[in-house]
Parts: sequence; structure tokens; C-alpha cells
Amino acid sequence: MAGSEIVTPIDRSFDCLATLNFGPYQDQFIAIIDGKVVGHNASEKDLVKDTRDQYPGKMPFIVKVPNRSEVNYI
Amino acid sequence: MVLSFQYTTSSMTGVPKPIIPVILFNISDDINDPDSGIGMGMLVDSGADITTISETTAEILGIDLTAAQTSSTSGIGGSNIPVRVTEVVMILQRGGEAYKFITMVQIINDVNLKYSLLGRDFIFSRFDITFRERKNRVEFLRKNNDGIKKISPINR
Repeated sequence: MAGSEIVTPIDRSFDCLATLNFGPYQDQFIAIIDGKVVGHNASEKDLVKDTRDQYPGKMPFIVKVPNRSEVNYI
Repeated sequence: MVLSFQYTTSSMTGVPKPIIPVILFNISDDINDPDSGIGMGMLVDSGADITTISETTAEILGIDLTAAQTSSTSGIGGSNIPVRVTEVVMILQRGGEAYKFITMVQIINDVNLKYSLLGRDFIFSRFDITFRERKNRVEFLRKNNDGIKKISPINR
């Protein structure tokens, strides 16, 4: 992103994907708040509930991490 | 202003994908309620007719699946899959620009959905969407204001 633009928490959360090591989270969902992974779980529902409990007022950014075997998608 | 998103390259697969951050709300939610809405990585899919989310995501948003319209869909496998269809509030934002709109989504069983999909219906006719494959980047340029409201970005 250009330097003069406003950077919101979800921008930071999305941008952190560029350098994130997804290895520990295979086949799970990860929750990111303000650019930091704050939780992971195979259950999306449990992950969102736990994240909302621990970080009230913050909007989690949820990403599904694929399995290593899922190389190409059609 | 162009909303520009770098492809996400999972270290699990090494394959860059046009996954972008989208904020979803139940249509009855107040977007200023601090406990409402979720951000979600969605795959921009020009081959999908309609935006698609999982049943679990719908439950998280508090969507009443029993009240949603029933339909069916089919994918590359060819078989018909039952779905529910409803409306959600969606926000696309990047670098201080934010656009809010209501769009149809189909809701599909989790096992049939690898990624939440940002399909063509509504959004592809409001934005010029450019896939810059050599740069691993997808760009959204608003071209049509029909049903789209510019808002202050969600900042939480």
C-alpha cells in the first residue's frame, strides 16, 4: 500500500499474510487481529467465539489455511 | 481510487491466489456494533455466478438458515448441491477507501466449500476487476454507484 494511505486493522491483518508461515495451521482457520495471529482452530465457529471473548470490540479477520495437498483449485 | 490486493501465497501450497479481505455483516446488524461482523479472506472467483459462504460462516453472522430461500447450485463436479440464498451486508475496504453494499449470497455446506467465494453477481458489475497475474495482484475500481455507499472504513 502507498505510504500516505490510511491503514486500518483489517489492512494490517490482510498484509501480514504475505509473510506469514502457514505451516502450523494446516487445515485450520486462523484469526488475525491488527496484523497478528491471535488464534487457530479447525472449527471456524469456536475460533470466532474464542476470539470475540478474548478481544471484545475487535473484528477478527478469518482465513482458511489449506491442506498441503491442495495445490491447484478449480 | 483502486483497491489493490496482493495475491496470498500460502506456504502450504506455494500457489498464489486472489484472496482478498471482505467484511460481512448480517443484514439486520448495526455495523457500528463492536461485536458484529467478521472479516474474511474470500477468493475472487470470476467463474462463480454468485458469492458463496459456508453454513458455519452464516451461523457466525447470525443468519437464520431456516428463513433463507432454498435453491441448488453446481460446480466443476457437475452434481447439484442444495443451498440457501439470502442477503448480507458486505464492505470492501483498502487504504482508507470503503464501500458498503447489500448482496445476495448462497450458503453451502462446509464440506463442499474450500474457500468462501466472491462471485460475479452484483460486485463484478459495480467494479472493474483486474487480475494482474504477472504481479500477483487483483485490483478493484468502482465504476457504478448503483447500490453502493461510500463509508468511513471499519477501524476495529
